[in-house]
Amino acid sequence: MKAYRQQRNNLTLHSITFVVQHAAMISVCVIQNSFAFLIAWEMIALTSFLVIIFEHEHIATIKAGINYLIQAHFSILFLMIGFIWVASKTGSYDFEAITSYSASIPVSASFMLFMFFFIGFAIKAGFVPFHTWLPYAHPAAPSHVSGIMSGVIIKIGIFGILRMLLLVKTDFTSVGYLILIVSLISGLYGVMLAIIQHNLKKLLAYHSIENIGIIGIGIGIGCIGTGTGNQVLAALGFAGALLHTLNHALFKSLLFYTAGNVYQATHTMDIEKLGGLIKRMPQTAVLFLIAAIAISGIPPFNGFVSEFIIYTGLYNWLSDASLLSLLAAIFSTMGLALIGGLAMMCFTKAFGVVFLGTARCELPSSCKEVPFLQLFPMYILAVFIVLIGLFPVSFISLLSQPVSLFIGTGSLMFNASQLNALNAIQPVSWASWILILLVISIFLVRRFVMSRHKISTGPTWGCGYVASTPKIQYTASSFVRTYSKLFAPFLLIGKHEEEIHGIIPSEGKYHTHPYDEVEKWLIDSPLKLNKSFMGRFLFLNNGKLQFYILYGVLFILAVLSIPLIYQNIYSFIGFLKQL
Amino acid sequence: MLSVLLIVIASIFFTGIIIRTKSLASGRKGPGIMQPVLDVIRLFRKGVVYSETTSFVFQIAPTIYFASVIMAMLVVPFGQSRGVLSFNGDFIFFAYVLALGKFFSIIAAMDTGSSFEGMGASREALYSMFAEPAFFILMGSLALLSGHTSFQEIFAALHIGSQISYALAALATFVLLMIAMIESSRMPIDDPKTHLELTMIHEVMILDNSGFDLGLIFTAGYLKFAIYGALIVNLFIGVIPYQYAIPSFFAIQFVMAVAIGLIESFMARFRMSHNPQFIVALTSVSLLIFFGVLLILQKFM
Amino acid sequence: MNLVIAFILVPFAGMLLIPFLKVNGKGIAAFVLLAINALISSYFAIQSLLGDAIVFTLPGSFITGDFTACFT
Repeated sequence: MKAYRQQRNNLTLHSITFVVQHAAMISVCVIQNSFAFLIAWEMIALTSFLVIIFEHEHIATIKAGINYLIQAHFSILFLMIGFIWVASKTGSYDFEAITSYSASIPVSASFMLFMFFFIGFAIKAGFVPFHTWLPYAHPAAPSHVSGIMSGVIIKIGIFGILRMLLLVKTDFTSVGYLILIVSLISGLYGVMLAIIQHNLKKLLAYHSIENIGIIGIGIGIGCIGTGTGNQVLAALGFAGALLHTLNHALFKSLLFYTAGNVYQATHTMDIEKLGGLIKRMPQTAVLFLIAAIAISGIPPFNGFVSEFIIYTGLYNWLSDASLLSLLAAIFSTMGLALIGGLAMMCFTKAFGVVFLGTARCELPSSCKEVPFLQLFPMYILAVFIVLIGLFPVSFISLLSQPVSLFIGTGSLMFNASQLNALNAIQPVSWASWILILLVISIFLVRRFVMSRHKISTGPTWGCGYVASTPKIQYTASSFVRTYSKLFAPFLLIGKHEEEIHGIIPSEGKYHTHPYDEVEKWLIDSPLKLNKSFMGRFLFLNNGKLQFYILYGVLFILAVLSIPLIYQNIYSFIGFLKQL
Repeated sequence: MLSVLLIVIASIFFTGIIIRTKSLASGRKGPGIMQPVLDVIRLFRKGVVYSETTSFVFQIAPTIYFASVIMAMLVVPFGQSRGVLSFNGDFIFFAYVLALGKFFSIIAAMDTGSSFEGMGASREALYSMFAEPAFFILMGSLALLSGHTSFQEIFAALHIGSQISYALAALATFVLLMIAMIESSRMPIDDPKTHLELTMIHEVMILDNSGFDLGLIFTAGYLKFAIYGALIVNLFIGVIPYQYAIPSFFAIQFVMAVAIGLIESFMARFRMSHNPQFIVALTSVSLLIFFGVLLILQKFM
Repeated sequence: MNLVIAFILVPFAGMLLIPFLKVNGKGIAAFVLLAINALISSYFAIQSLLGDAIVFTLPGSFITGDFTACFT
């Protein structure tokens, strides 16, 4: 924190961009004009870039920032194509023009139009395979920025997709299936990679991809519901997606903020080096635990409520008649269940290794709980996490307005008390209450019983080994070793191993570097090809001034000569057209 | 309410019967059927030893684990009578509330800082993760078959009529039984009587628990078994009146316990590395059930 | 409408104000400005969540046409 405070100019820039970014993000959500929308969108991209590279003295941070900047502009490129397509046909930049234009063109064309918007927003939201900027940008940014990025910026991508669903009139069923498939892949892939990460913030970043996947599953089934006229399914899907968007914003920001506390106290994000922090920072640990339970979708917190609504939607969908939708429903259910299980594994690992046990490396002596003012915002987030978990009905009734936009006709007012499929939410909240009361009462009984018996402490039972050191503890890598062996075909884990050998053994080493298969094929290979292709033109860049002047002269000549031979080119094109 | 009562009664005897069967099969007389319950009562009266490494997580985890199992018990119905809590999608709550208990038992094991307990925790997390899709697909197929989405309505509407539905019921029993085995850490996934910490899963996670906490964990384990037993019984007793249903509940629980005892006497635990394959195979069995349901409903045109 | 203009002016106020403050002041100023903007936007957002759609139009250029913005 001290180191942060000394950089005056940097802080000035950071504070200003933070305010501007906030204004831009809200503007994006209200603007109804594509021209202004793109400006605001670009403002988000640039300000996010500036806030990410706060620690710009690290080369990795700059790299991550530029990575983000480039990908954000790919997103803008796709959006621009979509908007200009509509504007060039209708002459209006207003959003209403998109609706009227997409209704007037054939379905395949409007599907294409939607795809441009979808890809543009999906890059921002972090759907696989457009997610590769997330795991770099989040760890590189300071933690409060990571919290905002994961909690809000990628949600702007979700907002964009939802907005376009309202604007573009197309075949919602196929759009729904497409979103469903992409989201299932995102959810599974995100959590599968999250488990093997050693960097706490990178782990959380991959988890954002997973949660975007869950939100996407909700949106997907909602679209299918709209497309097939199944209003209950549409309501459940969109309600689940919207609620999960809010929920994810709450618990993911909380997780990133607590990760920031850990970073501030220990100066490392490598979870293999941490451990036993619950004794040094108990409040941070409890906050992390609450968020971890919520993000795993476990009752009684908010993550369960939204996942429950999506599950209800999927099971409701089963009463649909067609074989394809049945298969889609059952495989989505399977995917969602698997995501839940994997998320639990991931967060038991993260919480267990970072906060529990004993420290695996020497922690700095200054490692202690952060001041209360820093914890206070986190408590607010935690309170909302618990509140949504315990009083879901009142929050869901707030969703009625936005969800009824998607259901369209308005004949079915989306309301927790009226919609039969949603009346389970009330008992779910009762069940959460009973669960909490049960825990408290059992705990009181336990305390009463134990007060009459002797309580002593001793070392952990080492199964006969007496000279146990902190190094003997299970590490994050060993916790997920069986998993990573099983899922090896989907993962890309680089290993670096030095075995112990010789009479006087040297030090043994074992490193793993998780990498991203999608990134390798989608980003690295094309870049490599591009580089090798461009490398052929290196001879042009030979460093001699005379040559550069020659290029300039050639260029000017070319520019001057084009009008002279314009007529010839024109007739040549005409000739080509005749062919 | 009836289901809670029956499950509690069944859980008192269940583990005792397993142990007795195993003793008889190996030619010993064995302890009385009430011995596990007596063990728990003895544990409740004992003092506690905590590891210096542990924090409050370790102390609240058994309580939450026990509470989660109780909550799961509350949603299980019995034939026509609902569970204490019954709502659309209660089986989702059932699975996820059990996951809460697992979450805490895993982090409690991590809290001790013992490498063995970490090992057990890692395995528990992995296996329960694999078991979850099987349960959700099974419930999905039953929901599709019956057209309802709560435990009680599903079970009440299940009619075992045609031959194919017999096959389905058998498969569903198999899946539920195996999930019960995974969840309560019995053969062939885990061997509760193994000697070596390296080969344990559940037992090694609770090495450092003692006294009241250990008693809670044991009780939760007994209850869990009876809960899954009750689910299996529910597959068959849909509309049968109580005077036949209640005896058949105990009969099926008894047969299950004896079968488990026999399996554990004559079979060895699977190799650890084969367990995931086995559990994934369970998911495909439940997919088979789903396709069977599609056949019954004549969705394949 | 005044609130909307205030919303747009807040970031500009931040740009002018923050460079001249001390380190602690920068943080507080940024926080206060963010809070103002958050309050303004949540005022509209809550109204629209409760069912009142709000539409306002800002003058644009001849290329873009007027900018409409709305909370629905």
